[in-house]
Amino acid sequence: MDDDDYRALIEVVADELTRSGAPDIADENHYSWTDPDTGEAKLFEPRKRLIMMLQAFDRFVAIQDRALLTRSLATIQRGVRSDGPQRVVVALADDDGAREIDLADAPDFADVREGINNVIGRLLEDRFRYPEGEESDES
Amino acid sequence: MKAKARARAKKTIKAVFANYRRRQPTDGKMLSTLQDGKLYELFVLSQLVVDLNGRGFTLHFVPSPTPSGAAAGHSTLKFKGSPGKIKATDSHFEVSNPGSGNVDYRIFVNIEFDTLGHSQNPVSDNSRRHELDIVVTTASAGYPTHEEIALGVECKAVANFQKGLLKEALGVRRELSFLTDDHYTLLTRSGGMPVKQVTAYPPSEFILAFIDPKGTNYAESPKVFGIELQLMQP
Repeated sequence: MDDDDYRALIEVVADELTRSGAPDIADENHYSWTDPDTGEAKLFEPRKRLIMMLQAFDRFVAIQDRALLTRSLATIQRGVRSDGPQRVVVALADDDGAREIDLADAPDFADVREGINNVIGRLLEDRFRYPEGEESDES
Repeated sequence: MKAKARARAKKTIKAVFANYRRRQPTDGKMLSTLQDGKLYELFVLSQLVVDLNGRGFTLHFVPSPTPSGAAAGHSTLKFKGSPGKIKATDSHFEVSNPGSGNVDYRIFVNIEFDTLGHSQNPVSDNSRRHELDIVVTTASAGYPTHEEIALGVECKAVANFQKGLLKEALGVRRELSFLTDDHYTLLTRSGGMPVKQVTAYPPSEFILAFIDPKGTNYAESPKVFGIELQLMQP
């Protein structure tokens, strides 16, 4: 794929990010660098920009994944002498008074993260030339 | 071939995002709680527990009272949607001195502290207090003063690190301590090893935790003011 292909994919990702409630990740200002000679801001080349955008989306998903709760509780349990917490809630003010959000109800995003990282891997190795599962070893 | 590759990539990308949206919670409050980074605060707290343990402190968890019903009997750690003062019922960790075993500090989450500015010249407007996501403090009730904080953590679960986050941390640091020569940190004075020094008085430690590797490019100047930028990726 060439720069035009990557630009087209950036448009797709930007649209999907907006539809998914994460429009800020699509903001191109995040994917620029300053030329030390001229002081001018320049965008990274399209392929790199696309991959950086997907990596940012992966970070956005990672902090919402229930797996983080499980891992963190296990880490805390190893670090305390007494029993550690078994349940984690967030106390919120609600129209009907106080309300608690139980973080155990967070979604399992394991396959979403796997999907994002699969796309990143295929872009890095230019494997979209082949249908999934029929990828050549030559790339 | 090229057009096929582009179409294949588009289709795969759209499927990934569709899967994400399908799994998003339908409860708006749950969604905003997650996107605000509450799970990330828990993750950073777990890393702090590991760090303090490694420095020789012993930790005990003190849970919040649990309601009756399905959650009864489950030891509960409670975060606050909005920061506030320390209450007797707040879940926390007791941090015991490596030598004496006495409880020197407690870890609380989502706490507001009385600022250095307020201690210099009492103020009554909204600038009196600032929030910290996680504190290690000698206080056990009310709003800790800046002098009662041994370590503060700000958690930034934003996908793209921006300089504004750093400016915010610099402001909080300013309200915790004066810039001075090196001092042993309060946790070091309590026996924590290895020894840590900080160019601040009171010699509190201050950590800005973040998920975007770009944040590591902003670490050097804040270090002068005793702010430690730590990349903590889930």
